[in-house]
Formats: sequence, structure tokens, C-alpha cells
Amino acid sequence: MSRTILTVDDSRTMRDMLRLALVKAGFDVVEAVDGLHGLEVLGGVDPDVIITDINMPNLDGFGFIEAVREGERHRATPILVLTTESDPEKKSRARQAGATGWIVKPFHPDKLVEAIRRVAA
Amino acid sequence: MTEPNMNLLDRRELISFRIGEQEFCVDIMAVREIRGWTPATPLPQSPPYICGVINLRGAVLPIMDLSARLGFATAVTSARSVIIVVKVGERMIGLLVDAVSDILMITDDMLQVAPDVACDRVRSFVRGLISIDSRMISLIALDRLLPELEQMAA
Amino acid sequence: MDELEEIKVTFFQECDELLADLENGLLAMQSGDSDGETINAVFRAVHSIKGGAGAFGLDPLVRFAHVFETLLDGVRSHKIDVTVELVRELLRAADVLADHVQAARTDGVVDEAASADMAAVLAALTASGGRIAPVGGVAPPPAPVVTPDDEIGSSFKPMAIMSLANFDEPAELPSLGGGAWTVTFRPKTELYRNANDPLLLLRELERLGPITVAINDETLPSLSEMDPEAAYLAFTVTLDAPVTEAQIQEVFEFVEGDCDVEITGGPAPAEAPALDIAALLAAAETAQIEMAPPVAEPVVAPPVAVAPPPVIEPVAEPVAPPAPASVAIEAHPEPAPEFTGVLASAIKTPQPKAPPANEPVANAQATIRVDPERIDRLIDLVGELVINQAMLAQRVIESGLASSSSVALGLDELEQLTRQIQDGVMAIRAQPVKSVFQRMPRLVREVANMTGKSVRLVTEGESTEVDKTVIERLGEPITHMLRNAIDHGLETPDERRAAGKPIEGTVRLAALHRGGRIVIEVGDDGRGINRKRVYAIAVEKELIAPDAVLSDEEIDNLIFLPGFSTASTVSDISGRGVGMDVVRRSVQALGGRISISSKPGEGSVFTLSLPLTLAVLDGMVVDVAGQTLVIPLTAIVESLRPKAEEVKGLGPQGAVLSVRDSFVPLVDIANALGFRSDKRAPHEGVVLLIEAEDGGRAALVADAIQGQRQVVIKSLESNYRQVEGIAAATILGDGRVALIVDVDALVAMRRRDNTRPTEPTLFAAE
Repeated sequence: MSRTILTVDDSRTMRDMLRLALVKAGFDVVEAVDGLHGLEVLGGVDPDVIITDINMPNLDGFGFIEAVREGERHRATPILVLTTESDPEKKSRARQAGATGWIVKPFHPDKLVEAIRRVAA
Repeated sequence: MTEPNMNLLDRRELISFRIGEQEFCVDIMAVREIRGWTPATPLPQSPPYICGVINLRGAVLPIMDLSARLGFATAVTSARSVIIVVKVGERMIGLLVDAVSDILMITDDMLQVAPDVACDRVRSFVRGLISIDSRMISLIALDRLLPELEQMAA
Repeated sequence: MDELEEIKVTFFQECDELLADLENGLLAMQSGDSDGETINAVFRAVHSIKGGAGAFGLDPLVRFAHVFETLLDGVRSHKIDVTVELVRELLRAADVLADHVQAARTDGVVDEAASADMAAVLAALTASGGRIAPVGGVAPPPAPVVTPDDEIGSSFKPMAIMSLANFDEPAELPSLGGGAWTVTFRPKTELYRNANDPLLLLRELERLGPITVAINDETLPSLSEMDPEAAYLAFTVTLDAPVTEAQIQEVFEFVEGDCDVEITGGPAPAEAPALDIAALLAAAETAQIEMAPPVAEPVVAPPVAVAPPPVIEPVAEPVAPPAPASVAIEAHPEPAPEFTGVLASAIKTPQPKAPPANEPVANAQATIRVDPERIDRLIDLVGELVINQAMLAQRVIESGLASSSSVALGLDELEQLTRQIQDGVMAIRAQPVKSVFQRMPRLVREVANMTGKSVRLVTEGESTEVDKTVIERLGEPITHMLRNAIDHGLETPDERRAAGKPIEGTVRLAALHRGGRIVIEVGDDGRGINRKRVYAIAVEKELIAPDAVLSDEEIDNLIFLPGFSTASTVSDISGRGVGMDVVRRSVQALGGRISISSKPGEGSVFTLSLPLTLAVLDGMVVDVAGQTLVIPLTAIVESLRPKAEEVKGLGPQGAVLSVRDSFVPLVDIANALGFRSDKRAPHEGVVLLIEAEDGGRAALVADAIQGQRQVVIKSLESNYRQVEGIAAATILGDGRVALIVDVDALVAMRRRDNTRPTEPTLFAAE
């Protein structure tokens, strides 16, 4: 049974890149265009891992993660944060919000898959 | 036609047709279809050899009276008249001819240069002459039929 | 196309959108709207372009975007104040960024010097907290900056990245000798909260080598006291594998702080270099994950420690070339700007609580992306359907079926449906004019700079929709009208001051729907048309008779005449070798009209109107000399059957029709198009009163009117050529081609021919 990944990113390019890498690695991919949309999508699917961008309109990555963790349904779902910012503050801020791990952009497909492996049960 | 050493690369197929008593042909590679005559819508300010335009499955296709273009009399259309739809460059054009005769297979070495005595107009539209079974068939240089269209369109 | 290439295409499309967002945001900031969301959107645009560019290894673009982003980040975090000057620089930077995107798209190069200057200005702004350097860019940043020369840029960093990257695989490591590692870790509650799991950590450790695990459950309370969400267990793992401590630490990367980790044992730490390699490896790992392609961005601390530190020296020449400028910022010893504050407040704004289910979410999700070719094909097919339906209807009429028969009634319904399908399909291809409008602010800036004028562009009606076929043809005339408005319409700042006007001129670009057409207006608040001068020039160039009596409006529109140019010297701005006459002709070829109206001292307005689509047209179908022709409905004012006494001769050839006390020239369509040489008395046929482009009227004489019909426009030019007096062709219900008359050209031809002694001859064969 293949695993489902929800990707949340306002950039179509980045969503397409993620999809390409994830589908090649055998994952099913569900997409959302921002945090608010992500929450809505989560009303209908139970992904194995969520990958989310931080800088997004409507509801950014931090807000999205916090909202996911506050809900009952997906609070145990691993969330990886996509970030170009490598500074520790960003990561700790994401972790405070409830992120499980992070991937730094631009990512290599292998590293992406490895990060998923590290958090997916 | 049956020479054993005929080079496949030099071989070309031609469609021959009649205008009055003379035979002409065009390269089959340029021919898109052959269809019966339908009355064309005349175009204002067009040269006499442009009969007008017809509807070819939704596209507007100009029809050239090849007889008039080559300097013969203006064609008299009949039930046997046909339109040879050819592609020249990016354009499609219909050539009105009296009747299609047959399909020929020739090699390039069968193509002869038109002799000097021929009139200028014929020479300018004929790429070469082919002699088969004592028939003489002129190969039309399609690209030279339309030069002024190209100019006008610019 | 390879998948990555496809994504690249998407990326560039997205770049166009992001650049537009960027520009719009900056323009909003320019007009004083600098709220958090605007600035965030501006930041995000540059950030996303950088992110995508990084993925494709578009290094020059990434480097410039990075410098730009850094400055915007300062703005976002309120470290840099938004000033008019700052926004002006940001707009310029947006233009340079657009150039970078274009260069990357076409594998071209940017103007290196311009890009370098801009990057230096941005870097200086970042360093100075937004203080604008004097022009020329000599603003010494307060803090010492790493000398941004190429040696550092090219030799130091790639070395750090590339050489370390080679140590990617543990197998390539020098043997570190024996000795098992003992890893003890005790997860905290937070670890579980973030969906981490000790089992995952054990699994990762196991990937490094064989492990034995002991669970320490001494803090485990009795079942009744146990909090199911709390962490009680600790794990002690023995790992016997030739790995480094850094590799083990990496396993715990995501849970750092959420888990107490103690790593002991391992190879004897006798050889100091071995530890260095470990550190190096740690650095390598970080560098590897964080910067897959060797892109400038994250020169994190570790590499600085391993590689020769960048030379920091006082800056002799603060204006840095572009690429190194980014290095300068990166390697700056100060920590990267903080965004935490802003971000923290930003996430408070939208309530992170789950939204009510019925709340409308971003529109983006409701859109589908479709290959435009598919839509074009669909539109062609619907065009065929319309023709086919008309043919069918005609056959039914010819068969003599009563109009009340069920077949005829069914056909009526079919016609309705066909029409609706056509409208629906056309609506799919309709696009807001925004895509054209958003290219204009840059043009305005450039023309303003060239002419030394100060210009504000105001746009209205950006969301006005029009068919794609028209959108594609709008850019050219709008560009010309804008150039003309700024170059000729607006006064110089001195002149404006003298006239008591604001120094900054305003140019207004608006789109609206009117009467089934799209109208584009380009207005300026400049000097207006100097009618005396225009009149004099027109006389001098023999465009009008010296004693011609013209209305103000007619004089204004003289500028569209071929060969007219008011500028005493040919300006390379509005000129560019193309006069307004050419613009008018290209607009007319599309079935459009262009005119100008002007008030002295107050300004001028160009008005351009075009059909909403170039795919279909509402027309009047008429019979002319045995031919069926279509007259565009938009040109027709009314149709009438003139009485014989209303037709008056005028000169040897001409005739006019008396219509309610005014005289309108009669144009026999059949004569004008050469279908018939003898004249037919107008009162035997019908007359269509039309209004030409220039406002002039004419009465077209036809034999009979068949009725109004929507027709599908077919190009004559794709297989033939343009024909004077004919706008295009269409296919009627009987399957035959009918020509669509170009009314303006027809009237113009007639006017011209009447001045000639003889009828024009059909041009000869050769």
C-alpha cells in the first residue's frame, strides 16, 4: 500500500517539484495551495506525512502546523517543514509549532525521501 | 521505371493531370487531397487566375485556375473538373484542373530541363519535363505559382 | 518534454505571476499602502522566485533574488522603513529581477553592470537600514563587509561545498577503528507531541549498524497514574558500527531539545584529526542537505570553521558587483535578520483555528489548468458546430417543413443550445486584461526616465475580460498610446510647474465593456493637442486642403493620418519608427477603432475599442450582385429603403443620400468591390447607413438583406492574403464561403476612387 503525502505550498513550481520527486519514489500525493486550503484538504484525507512551506498567504506554515496539532485527527501525523531559511530560529519556531522535521530548499529528491523515511512510521 | 539499380532515394511519385491537351504533374508529397469542383466565392481585386475561395472543412481555401495561371484560356468547369489541394510552404491552395490522369513514379534523372524555346511563362512555372511512353509531362514548380501572394501578405 | 522541463515551464509562468504580484505590491506601497500583508506578499514573491530558481540551479537569478529578498526581509521585520525613495529602488530592483527571469528563460544574459549596480544598491540599503545612498552608489555601509571579490565567491565556497560533498557516503570514510557506541536517549513529552517516535529513532540507528536496545522504565508510573500523552521511557542503545558521532547526532536532528541524548564510547579519541573529520563530516552533511545545488545561500557556521575564513577587511570600494554582494551579506558576521517577530504576529492575524467548513477558501483551488491548445481546438469545433447547425436549419427550410413542425422546433432549441455552448466556450478562453496592463508600469517608468518627466500611472478595470485572441493584440496599441501620452501629452516638470499643475503627471489606463466591445482608454492630464499646430502641419504636408473647415474633433484625429508626425524631431520614444497611422491601421485590421479627444491645457484621451473576440462576429447578411456578404453589425447605424427623390447626384460619379436633412455619400458595394460595373439605382435596393471609424457616415447600397446572424470568423490570410475592402471570411449555412466587408476600408477605397478618372483595373496577372 503506497503512502500518501500532503504537500502544502503556494508555489506551483514547488508543488510540481515535490510531486515529481514523491511520485517517482512511489508515494501518492495530495496538494494544497496554502495553510487554509491544507486544513480543508485534511478534512478529507489522512496523509501519512505532511510537507508544508512556511511563507504562504492566508495561513502560513506555522499557523497551519499549530492548527493541525490542535485538531484530534492529525495530531500524530508527522509534519516536515520546507524552508529556505536554515537558521536555527526558524527551525525551533517550526518545532514549537509542532513540526516533526524539516527539509531545506532546494532539496535533492533523495534527501526528501530520506527525511520522509525518518519520520514516517 | 524498372531499372534494377534504381536508387530509392531519387525516386519520386507524381500526380499528373490535364489542362487542355497538355499534361502536367505535381509532386505527390505536396498533395493533400483531390476533390470535385464546387463553385467558389469570388474575391474582389484578385488576379483573373484566382477563382475565389471555397470551404475546405472549415478552412478558407483559395482556388487557382491553373489553366489561366499558365497562360491558357480561363478554365471552363465541368463535372469532371477537379481541385488538387496542395500545400505550398505554410499555405494550402486548390488547383483547378480539367482531370487527373494518373500517378507516376520517376527518378530524378528522368527530369529534363525545359528547352529555351518555351515561352517565359511556362519556363517560370515548370521545373522540368518528363518523357514517359512518348508522353511529355511538365513538372509544375508549385512555389513559383504564388510568389506575389507571399509578397502581398508581408 | 521531460518532466523537469515541464516544471521549468511552470516555474517561468509562475515567475510572471509573481513578478506581477511583486510589482502590484510595490505600487500599492508607493501609493502609501504598506500594511503587513502587502509587504509579506512582496517578500513572498521574491522568495518564491528564489526558491524555484534554486531548484533549477539558475544561479545568477538566485543570487540577485537573494540580495533583494534580504532587503525585503528587513522591510518586513520593520528594520527598514518604507520610504518613497526605498520603494522607487525596490521597483527598479523588480525590473532587474524581471530581466534576470527573462535571461534565465531564454538562456540569455542580463546586463551584468546594471544588475551589479542594483544589487550593490540593495545591499547598501540593507546594510544602512534603508538610507538611500547618494546617486552613484557610494554609500559606505556602516559595518565592515567582506570584500566581495570573485576570489572569495568562486574559490572559497565551492571548495567548501564540493570537497565536503565527496564525503557523502560513510563507506568512503577512513576507518575509524573499533569501539561500540552507547547512545542513551530519553524522549520528552514534546517529542510525541510533534509526532516523533522513539521507535523511528531506533530504526534510524539500526540503519547505521547492528544495535541492541535496553529500555529503562524506572520512571514509568502505575497504570492508574499514567498520563497517556506523557513520556516515561528511556532507551539505551549499543551500536557497534564504524560511524561517527555526528552521524549518530544526525539521527536526533529533528528531536534536538525534545529528547535528552547522551552519546558515549565509539572509537578511541586518540587521533585528533579523526575528530576533525567527524566535524567536517557533520558540516558536510548539513551543507549537503541544505544546499543541494551549489547555490550561494546558506553558508552555515560549520564550513566557516573548516575552510579558510573569509577575509574581512575594511571596504575600499563599497559598490560591489552583484554576485559577491550576496556573499558579502551571507558572510557578514552579524546573525541573519530575524523574522520571528513579524512571523509571530503574522500567524496571529489569520486565526489558526480550523476555519468554519463553509468559509470560502482561496480561489486557487477552484481553478483548473488546461492546455490552451485544447481550448482553441474546442472553440474551432464549436465554430464548426455553429456552421453545421446553420446548414441543417437551411436544409430544413429548403425541404419545405413548416416552422411549427417538431423538426423545426427542435432545430430552434438546437440553435439556442449551440449559441449557449459557444458563449460558454468563449468564456473559458476569456482573460482579464490584467496580463497586458501589468506590463505597462515598467514601460511608463522607462519612458518617464527617458523623457525626464515625472509620471504616475493609474489603471482601472484590470479584471475586464476579453477573448484571448484580442488580449494578444492589445499590448502593441496600448504601448503606443502610453508612449504618446507621456512623450507628447505630458509637459515637462518645469512647464507643469509654470502652468500651476502638479509636477507629477498622471496617465490613466482603463478598460471597460461598452456595447459588446472592449474599450481601452489612455488619458493624460497634459497639455492637450495643439490644434493650430496640428492643422498647420496637416496643411503643410498636404494632408488637408489649406482652406479645409474641420471640427475640433476632426483636427485632433488628423494625427492618425499616414505621414503625420507632430514631433519636430523624430522621437525614439513614441516614434520607434511607427506612427499613430500604423497603430490605427493595425487596430482597424482587427475590427477596432481608435480615436483621440483633447481639451487644451487639460489633457487628451485615446479611446480604443475592439470586438470582444476575434473568433465570432455579429453581422448583417446581405445580397450583393449575386454574392452573399456579411456587414459587421457594429458599424451599422440603420438600414433603410430610400425613395428615388432622396438620392441626389453629386459630380459625375458620386451620389448622396438625404437622410433627415443631412447628406450621406452613397457607396455601391457591388461597384466598390468590382462585382458589377454598372450602377444600380439605390432605391431599387436597400441602404445600410454606417458610421466609419473617423465618425464619418456612408450609405452602403446592397441588393437585399437576408438577416442578422452570428458568424464564425475565418482568416483569408492564412491561405491567401489580405484583400482590400474585405475584413475576413466566414462559412454560411449552405457551406459556402461568404466575405465579411471591412466597412471603413470600403468607404476609404470609394473616396479615393472617386478622385481618380477611371475605375481601378483588376491588377494584371503578372
